[in-house]
Amino acid sequence: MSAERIIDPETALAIEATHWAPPAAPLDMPRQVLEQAPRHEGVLAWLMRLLRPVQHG
Amino acid sequence: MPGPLSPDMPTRALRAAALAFAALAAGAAAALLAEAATQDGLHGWDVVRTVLIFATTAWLAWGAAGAFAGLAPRRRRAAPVPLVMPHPPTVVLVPVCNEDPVATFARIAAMDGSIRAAGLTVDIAVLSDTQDPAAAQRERDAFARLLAETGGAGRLFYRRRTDNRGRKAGNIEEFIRTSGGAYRFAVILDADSLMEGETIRQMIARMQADPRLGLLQTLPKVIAARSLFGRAMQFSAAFHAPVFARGLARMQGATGPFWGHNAIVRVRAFAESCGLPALSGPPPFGGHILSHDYVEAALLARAGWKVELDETIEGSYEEGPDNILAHARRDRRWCQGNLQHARLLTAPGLAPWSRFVFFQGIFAYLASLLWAGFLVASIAATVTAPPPDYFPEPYQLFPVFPSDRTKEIITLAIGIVGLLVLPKFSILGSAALSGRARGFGGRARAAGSVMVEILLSSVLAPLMLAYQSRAVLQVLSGRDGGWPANQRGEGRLSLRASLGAGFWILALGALSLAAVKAVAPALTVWLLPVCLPMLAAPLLIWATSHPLGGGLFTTPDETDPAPVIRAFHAWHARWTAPAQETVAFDAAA
Repeated sequence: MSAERIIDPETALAIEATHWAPPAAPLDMPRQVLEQAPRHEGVLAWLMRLLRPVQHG
Repeated sequence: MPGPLSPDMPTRALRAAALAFAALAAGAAAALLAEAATQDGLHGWDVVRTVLIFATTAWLAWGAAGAFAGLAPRRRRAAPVPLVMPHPPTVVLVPVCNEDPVATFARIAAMDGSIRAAGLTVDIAVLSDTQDPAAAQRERDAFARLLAETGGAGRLFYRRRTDNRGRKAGNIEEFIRTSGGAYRFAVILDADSLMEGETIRQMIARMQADPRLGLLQTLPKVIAARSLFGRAMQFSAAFHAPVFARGLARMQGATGPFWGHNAIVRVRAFAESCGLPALSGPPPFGGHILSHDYVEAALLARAGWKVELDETIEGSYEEGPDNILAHARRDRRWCQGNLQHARLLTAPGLAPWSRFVFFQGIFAYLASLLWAGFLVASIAATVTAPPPDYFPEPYQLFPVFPSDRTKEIITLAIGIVGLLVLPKFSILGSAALSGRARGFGGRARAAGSVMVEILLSSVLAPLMLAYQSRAVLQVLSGRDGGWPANQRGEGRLSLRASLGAGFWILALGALSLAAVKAVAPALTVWLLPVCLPMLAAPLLIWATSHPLGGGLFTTPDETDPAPVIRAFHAWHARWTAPAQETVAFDAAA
């Protein structure tokens, strides 16, 4: 007779045992960069740079 | 880390040909419409609908090009890649969240048996994100029984997170952070996935043979459908999807897709490349990445790993939604996930094709809105058109009647319908010639199934358009749909539930029809194919959730189920049978 016949599965509550957990073997998982760093200058500063006179010499 | 990937010549040529085909078809559609629409002069609405027909036809033609690209079968491999023993340590991951534990663990028992029969030593880890304490207790009970009946201690694992941060992607990531070092490969499944041990063996061998392969995606076949809707999808997934998937695989090359499950990954590659950050800002566009699989595929490719789809790998299964409501719920989540990818179009370092895949995913959902916009623009163009001028010249003796535009419009309609059905008829022809149709009940039955599937999807298209447009508008207006748990096996819907869920579509259809009849009566007949199914929405939702007789939509896995499917049914029957029967089963065994 198997274990669950001795322990009535209808009424017994299983307790999470330590051997249920997967083996401990840590692996690093670095966070990826998906967003460009925000540009603080803004459109106005970019336009101003465009309008800056060209330096010769 | 491997170097960057670049597509080979055949992949580039196929992409260029598909893009050219889509552009040509879209150009032809736009030219036809423009010719018909500008007979009475050029107006604003004519420009709008010409642009819309260009975009929507391009999308349809792109889909058709994918199918045509997949029509030619693959060249046969000389021999399957052999597995070098002892094989690298491998784990099967089964993330679950509020699932039926009996069905989930019955699948695991079946796969565990199949894996051992294939001569493999592979662990299976159930990664639970279930938050409800009673549901978690049921999972624990079912797992204890699974261990007792399979003797699986030491190879079957169960762990539950109390904080389900990052949802499924976070669940997998947590496993890799704590246990990833123990394994070289991980087969990622869904709670409703099934996979043969031989399939896993073949996948490990493929990963072993190609050290640059970071992820290998299979094409899972849909099984266990009962309703008309579910069986039509199941048939379509078995009959049409392999050809579409082959086209996709050819087009994507080594920058292939990841669909989140029924795939194997190289754990080190996944760990190095796929740690997903939360996006800045609140959902739906910020926060955790909802459709993580596409992003993970793009990140693997960014790091130089190959991501391949192989639709020829057999023995990979999943279940699908059994009614329109379950489908619409899942689609709402996918919609938000795909639109969120707009934030990632400019992510640094991605392969151009990965960006294009994001764009495709976004466009797949926007297309519904564009179709709706085209209908509205067409009505507006008719309403605002100037009355015909029969005597444009002064002192003209005979009237000039406006030329009939019906021919152009009918040609355009035939072209668009052709783009929708021609790929399916081509697949039917190819299956009939190659003998593949035999598994679908023979040529005649396969042809009947294809015809009914086309008819059904055409009738349901306005409903899908309504659900998808609503989902897109919700996301664009900032409404977060969250991640509702899957309600598998909910199957049949009552008429009352169908009426409750489909009444808004009925009302929208009635209002649209009444409005068009009032402002542009000539267009009423053109709108009937869209509005009639909308008026019947509750009835369609109800009827398609019920089983279908008549032997239509037969699939090979239905007539001759794979061993792992039969084993799953046996375990499930055993665990759901009354106790006395189970004891008798034990005694007989």
